[in-house]
Amino acid sequence: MSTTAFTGAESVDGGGQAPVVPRSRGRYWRAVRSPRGAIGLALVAFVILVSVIGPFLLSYGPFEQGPNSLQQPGSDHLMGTDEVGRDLLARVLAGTRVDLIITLVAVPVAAVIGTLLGLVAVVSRVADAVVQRMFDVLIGVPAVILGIGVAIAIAPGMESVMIAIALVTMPIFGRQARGALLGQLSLDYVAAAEVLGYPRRRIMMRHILPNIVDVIFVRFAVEMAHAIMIEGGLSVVGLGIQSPQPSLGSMIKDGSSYLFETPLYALAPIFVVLLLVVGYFMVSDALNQAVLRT
Amino acid sequence: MTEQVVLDVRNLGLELSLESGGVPVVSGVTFSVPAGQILGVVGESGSGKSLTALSIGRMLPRAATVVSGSIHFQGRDMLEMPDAEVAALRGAELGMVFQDPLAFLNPLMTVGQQIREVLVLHGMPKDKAEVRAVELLELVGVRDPEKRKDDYPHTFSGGMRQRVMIAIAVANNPALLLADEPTSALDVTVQEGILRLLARLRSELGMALVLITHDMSLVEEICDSVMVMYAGRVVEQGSVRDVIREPRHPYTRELMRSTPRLDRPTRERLPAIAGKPPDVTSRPDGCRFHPRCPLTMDRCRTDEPALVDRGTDTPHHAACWAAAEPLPASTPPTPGSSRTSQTGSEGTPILDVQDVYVSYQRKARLWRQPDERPVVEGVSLRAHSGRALGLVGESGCGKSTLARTIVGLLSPSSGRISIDGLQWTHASREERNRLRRTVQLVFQDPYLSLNPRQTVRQILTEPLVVHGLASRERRQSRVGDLISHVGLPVSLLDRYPYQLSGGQRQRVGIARALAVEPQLIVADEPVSALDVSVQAQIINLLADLRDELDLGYVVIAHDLSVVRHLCDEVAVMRAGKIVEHGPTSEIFSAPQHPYTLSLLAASPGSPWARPEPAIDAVDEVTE
Repeated sequence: MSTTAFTGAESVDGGGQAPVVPRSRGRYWRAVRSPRGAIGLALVAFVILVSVIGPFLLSYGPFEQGPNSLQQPGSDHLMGTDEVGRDLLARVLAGTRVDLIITLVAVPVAAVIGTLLGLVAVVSRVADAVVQRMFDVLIGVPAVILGIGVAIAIAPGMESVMIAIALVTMPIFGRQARGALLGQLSLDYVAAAEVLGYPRRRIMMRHILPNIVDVIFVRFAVEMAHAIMIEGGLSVVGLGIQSPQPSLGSMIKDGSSYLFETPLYALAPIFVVLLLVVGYFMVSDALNQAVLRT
Repeated sequence: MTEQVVLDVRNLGLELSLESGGVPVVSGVTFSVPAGQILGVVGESGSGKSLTALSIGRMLPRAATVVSGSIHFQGRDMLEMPDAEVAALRGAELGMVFQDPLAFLNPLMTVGQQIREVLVLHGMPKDKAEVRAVELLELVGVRDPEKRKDDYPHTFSGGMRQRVMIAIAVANNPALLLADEPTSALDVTVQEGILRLLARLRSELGMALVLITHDMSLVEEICDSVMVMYAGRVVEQGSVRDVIREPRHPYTRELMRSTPRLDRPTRERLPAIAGKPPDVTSRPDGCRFHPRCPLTMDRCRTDEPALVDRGTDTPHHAACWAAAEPLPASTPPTPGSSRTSQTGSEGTPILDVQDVYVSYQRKARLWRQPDERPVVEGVSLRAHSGRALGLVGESGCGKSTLARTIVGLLSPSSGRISIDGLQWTHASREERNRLRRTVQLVFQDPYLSLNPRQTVRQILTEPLVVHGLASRERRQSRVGDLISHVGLPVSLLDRYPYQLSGGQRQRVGIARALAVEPQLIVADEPVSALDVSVQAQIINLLADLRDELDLGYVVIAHDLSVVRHLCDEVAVMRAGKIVEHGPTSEIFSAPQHPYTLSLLAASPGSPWARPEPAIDAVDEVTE
């Protein structure tokens, strides 16, 4: 829309304010093409690509122990070795893969379940109240405590971290979806659908849901970054991914003991976390710009 | 002329920077305002009138810049002035009033504080400012100012807020007041009060006033001179008397003709201007009005006419190749315009509303008693096929609530609504479906009433699918029929709503309502969100559809003049009750209720004397 500068000043004769943002099929494409979106996406894609392709180019696996512990970077081990002589580069790449898998499973699951629970708001008042109080509890408990609970209930490991991440992010999606939903309900196109006699489920799924997915997508990118940080937090208290399986969080924790001997042990995974978090935030920001504001 | 010129704008050009580069939005605007005079700037959306006004106070949005011309305010060059000096001028010698006062008043400060702030910032001692704030509230007609000064903006009504904003704007006795659509968001009777206030302040404080509006009748009422803008250009400029009596530009004339007015015959077909105002990015070559102009000549398509003085004794400029001679008198009314022939027919009753009450309920909370706010109190109405019933009232009178109750979005707390013999309250599933197909709603805001994620085709197909109204093969031809029925080309079917203009969207909304072949259409302010030149098109479309399809209408409006052109009967609603109800001609010729009279008096072109005397005779508040 080219006349956005006008709409504020001339809203009455211009046909009323239009909080409904122009939406075209190309809106995600526009986000990707913006500098911020392109850089963010490139960062994330770079990390994924390197962690997937990297192992094929390395001569050591992440679990292979060598004779030299805490070796400095050299031609043999590009980033050196850890305290039991495993190749650090191989372990960083393996840890990155673990983090990516965890977040790519947990966050989408949380997004779908959270959104659906948020939509319960229109189905019944009682169900809405129950869901919202449940969200209150989940939001009220700190992520690490929640993770401890899950780890105690089932053995700590990939599953417990995934469940913890899902439990932490689900209410966030739920709240976001519910808020967006209630905002849409007051718009006339919903009333129009009702007056035309469309069934409720159709109005919900065909009319309202497509209008709130944008909000969920923006939130999704933010929560991906959030999930990486939750994994780190759980690893620091020892309830994350268990040894010998590496993860970014557990490597940061283990490596911090050798910060002066082999600084790359901790710094390399920190750098990967940084790339991912910054990348995800840039993507969400670009999406937010292109999709929600325009 | 010897009066002191307060504002002098010469050859102003503004540019808007878009993704695609700089686009000129306003060019060659020249005008001056002498002290104590009111200049009206008239235009539709995209005409550049608001940007022109904002540029005077150097308050353009970041995307817009002044690229040429000069602005002199009290002899000083505004464009060369340092920012700090401009800031010192604003609120002191230069006052501004905007359309939406709530957005410009700070919700966390009392109105008294906000008035004092502007006084103190411009150098008045605090104790004096305190007294002056009360005086100002009194001046703008806020009752009981001593007490109200400690209230927050949200406790004031729309009209009162606008008065507060005017009080802030005139606090420091400005030499010039810029008012951008100061009354567009207000009810007619409130608008009347604000206009009178502005005119009074002009004469009392001797300030100059620039009034920006889309409404020609406001200009007629209080302005001394007028400047008509179209697509970034001034098309006509002169004294109000000259321009109104003898418009030299076809746009001005058509705009005046297509505005519904009280001094025209009822049910007359409105002469509509075809098309819509152009976008900033796609303005036509030559004269910018030529695609919509009835007088277009070859020359208009290629050469842009200059603004030339055509006045006989006073200056009267117009930018039109055809304006060398006075325009031919209004074309005779189009044939088929007299629909009076069928006003005699009664039509079959389709809607029967009996003694309906609707109220909003608030549930009991911890410290709150449950309460009920009645909105509609005992309304009875009837509507007939092939006839239109107008429901008129000001905001908050319950007319929209009643509309939503009729179409089944809300349920009445008591009373009976029967549509074609069926009632929402005791309807079986099947009957509800039939009801849904019998009555449809057309919404006020075409921007909100279409799903932004559906194409026009999807919007129009869906009702057919849900109600099983056309077989798969026949659906597309039916959709084609619907869209051409409302006067839109089939090529628009694959557009999204945001790719349409306001008028086109409203047509799609009407087509969607027609898809289920209803017998009754409830139209809630169907034209109030549209550009003036487009309103007449929609009113005519609704009238045509009624006659063609024998539809019954309930048309809700805040504006009597709109209803007059469309409706056979009018009901006037106030505070949830119907205060007067009768045939349109009777309501307009012999109103019985004082409220109807005051609505009539506040409408443009009203032959009715205002209940209160002339503008300058100061009303109750100054005593």
